[in-house]
Amino acid sequence: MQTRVLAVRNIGVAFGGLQVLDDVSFDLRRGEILGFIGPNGAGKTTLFDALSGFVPSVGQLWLDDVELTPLKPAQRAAAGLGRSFQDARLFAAMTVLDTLRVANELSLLNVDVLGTAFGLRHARVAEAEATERSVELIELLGLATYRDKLVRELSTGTRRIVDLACLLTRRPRVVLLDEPSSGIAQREAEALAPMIRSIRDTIGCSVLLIEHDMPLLLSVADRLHALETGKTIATGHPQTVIRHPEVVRSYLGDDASAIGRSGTAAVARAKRKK
Amino acid sequence: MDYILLGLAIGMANALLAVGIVLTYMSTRVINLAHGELGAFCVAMMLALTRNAHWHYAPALLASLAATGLLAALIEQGVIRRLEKSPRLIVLIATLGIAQLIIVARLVVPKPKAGEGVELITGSGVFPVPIDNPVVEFGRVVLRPQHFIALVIGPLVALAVVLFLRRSTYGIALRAAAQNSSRALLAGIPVRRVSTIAWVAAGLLSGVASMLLAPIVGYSSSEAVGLPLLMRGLAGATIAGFDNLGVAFGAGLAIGVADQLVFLSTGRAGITDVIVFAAVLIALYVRRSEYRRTSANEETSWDTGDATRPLPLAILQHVRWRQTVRASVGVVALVAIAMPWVLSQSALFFTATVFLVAVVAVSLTMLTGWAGQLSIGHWGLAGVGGVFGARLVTMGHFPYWSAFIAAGVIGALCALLIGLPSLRFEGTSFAVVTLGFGVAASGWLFSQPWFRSGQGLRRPSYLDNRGYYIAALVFLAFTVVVARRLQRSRIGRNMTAVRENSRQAESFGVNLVRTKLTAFVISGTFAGLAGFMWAIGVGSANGEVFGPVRSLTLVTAVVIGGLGSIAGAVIGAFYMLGIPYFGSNISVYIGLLSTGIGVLTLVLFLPGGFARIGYFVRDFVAARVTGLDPNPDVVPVSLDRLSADSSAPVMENPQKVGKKRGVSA
Repeated sequence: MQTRVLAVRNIGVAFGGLQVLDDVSFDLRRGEILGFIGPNGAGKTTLFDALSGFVPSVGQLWLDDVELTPLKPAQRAAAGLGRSFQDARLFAAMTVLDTLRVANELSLLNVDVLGTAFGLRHARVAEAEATERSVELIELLGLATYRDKLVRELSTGTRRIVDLACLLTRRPRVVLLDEPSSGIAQREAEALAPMIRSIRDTIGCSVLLIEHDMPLLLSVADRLHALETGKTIATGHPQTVIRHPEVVRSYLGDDASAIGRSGTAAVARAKRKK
Repeated sequence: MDYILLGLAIGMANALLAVGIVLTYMSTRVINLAHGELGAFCVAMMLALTRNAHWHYAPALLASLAATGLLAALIEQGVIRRLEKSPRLIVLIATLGIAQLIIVARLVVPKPKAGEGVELITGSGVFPVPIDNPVVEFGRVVLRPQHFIALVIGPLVALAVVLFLRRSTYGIALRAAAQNSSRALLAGIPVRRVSTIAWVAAGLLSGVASMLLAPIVGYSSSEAVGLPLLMRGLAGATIAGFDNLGVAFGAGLAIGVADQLVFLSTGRAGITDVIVFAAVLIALYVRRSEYRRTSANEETSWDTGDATRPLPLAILQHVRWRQTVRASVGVVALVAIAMPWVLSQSALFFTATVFLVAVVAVSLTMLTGWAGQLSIGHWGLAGVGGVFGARLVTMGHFPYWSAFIAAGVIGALCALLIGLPSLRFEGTSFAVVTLGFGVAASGWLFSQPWFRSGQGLRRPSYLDNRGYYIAALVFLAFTVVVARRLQRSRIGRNMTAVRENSRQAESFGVNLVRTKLTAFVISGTFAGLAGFMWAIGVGSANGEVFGPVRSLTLVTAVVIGGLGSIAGAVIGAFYMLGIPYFGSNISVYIGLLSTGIGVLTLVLFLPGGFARIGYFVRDFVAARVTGLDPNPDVVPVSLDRLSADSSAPVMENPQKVGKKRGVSA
């Protein structure tokens, strides 16, 4: 498969004697949005943690031709793996501008201690470029008035935008989005689908997406991967997966309203999108 | 075998100290840095009552233990409980403030008299022992009553603790609360009362342990007895991972035995501190997988936003604001340069030493305020630079400038050596390691023949008081400029990011260990340089000049100044040294008193420190001169608006984003 970006093979994670993830494998194609569903405790976030290198795991992981398995989180990030966290906590005591500049870390690696301490040219130039880039992006996203605000002063929704801005500036090859809709209002959540697609198109990445908001997920995902208690129970086309008997039993229930939004209009809209 | 028995007797005290630390940790998730001071206080009480007031042994024992228990209860009720919801590192700093206050309390207790009104400073025969027999010669050692008492009382007290935890309602409640305090609270357990009881029990344990230890290893009334006591307990507690009383007890015993065996094989005393320090490092290494796991309440994050909030760019670039900044920097510089013609010689020298402490404080604020790693042994790092530099000058006859540079280099190397094994772990273990280093460096390293400095460290002729002042001033100015550059660049930003949210930082590609190590090495460099200049000023460099208690002063200085703020660190240094300087005619203890009270007040009532007041003034001035709002209101922005509006930027301009990124990437 030429268009394969990410290859995940037989990933397993155990905490003590508890097998939290068991033999999970999948491929991610270029430009694809792969959604993950499953009940709480199914291992979705653990899977993301294992892929980003935060928890020790067995199995293999390739990004293009690079094997990420032996790499630490920061090295995986440098290889092109982007991660967004469910809480979008970011750095509470830093300004939005500084947060974005931290996100530019990989373009600033030549800013060393001595260069900074003595104000050498290469350090100044690299910093100025990162600042300019961050400021442009902040203005582009309509965050200009927030630029010098501390992250802890922002609403969850705004933090989410900053979080996505960090992804935009980093341009990872693969983005791991962990429940971007959590903690934000439903109206805002509805705006996420176009945003996720536009991020993918803008930076040309592929996306792994954990999401409990089924209408949102169904409107963006090209494929779904269903987990239960750490095991894959179904994978494939979204409509196939959500009708899969095990998925229905373990996660969705047989009540159609769980798949649609609360409120008939939303359900109708979700259906229309299909 | 004979030495092992002797070691076991000493080990009993270590073991009980360790058990006490684990007990407080279980109940409130904080390492009580005042734990050793509680014991030292108990010993001081006991001595005053028996030697000065001529009480009998038993009532004096009960009274001093009761006083110690009461003190522990007061601490828990007055401070720890109020900080229930604070980051654990803040509570750790609060216990440092408490430790300083207990030192004052201990020093205020009358010193024991040896006879005709002479105050005893140290001595091993001073401490009362209730019985005179038996004295047994066993192999190569003489076992005295105090050893037997330790060997009998130690296990009995430990047994009592075990029975308390296993059998009594409160003991079971304590174990439940240690597992999950909110759940225990929901289950109807009075978590708070349980925690008070745990603190009292720990205070009593510390008291008993110190009284077992005092007649064996001797008594000293100097400032620095609490910290070595604390380290003895901390070593055992660290080995036990702060959660296993049995292991803590055993580890304490083992350290005592190891101490005696090393004494036997090397014939050198006074290396207890080193053994304890080594035990901590080994424990961290062996239990590394556990220490790497962190729970939310052990995160290093503390919000220093109040102390480091930058002004909006619009103001920073405003002409009149720039003029104002330049003018005020100019005024400060003029005042500083004019000082040699204004101040007396002694005041000039004093100010110079404050500048040097300010340099160390700035270096500590980088490490602790930015990178979130609390160092309680920073004066020890300064000492490494000071002692080594002084050695080069006095014994190697190196020129001063090259010794100065060497002091910085060795400070950096030392930080690297300590940091490599200890910065891999999150949480408070780094604080424990640096504390151990500070104690061991002062008690052992600085007096080693291969490291100590020679006699007769003299100031060169160009460093008379005026020259010394100017050198210190230039050095401080250089430090502040470098610190500001680092703070505003990738280096400082990454440190803050790692402190605030290490996973998020890593997912941006920031190397965690390297960032923390960078902070520590930069910090160690400046500390080493300043230590050497300090040694030149004082005229000697040894374990006393670089004692561990000043490390506590430094931590207090940066907390009072506002963690993370460079100006705050400088102001904090002036506060910490200025009060004892000007207030010494009021009371000799005013220094410790003001720092202890100062740190507790700030932690409890004004997090953000002096810097917060400074930023208030800055914002006010900025608003006046530029007419711009330093903290403007924001136009609410939401995801919703982004896509609903036709002007939705990401939607409309994907190519624009891509192009701009493309140019610079």
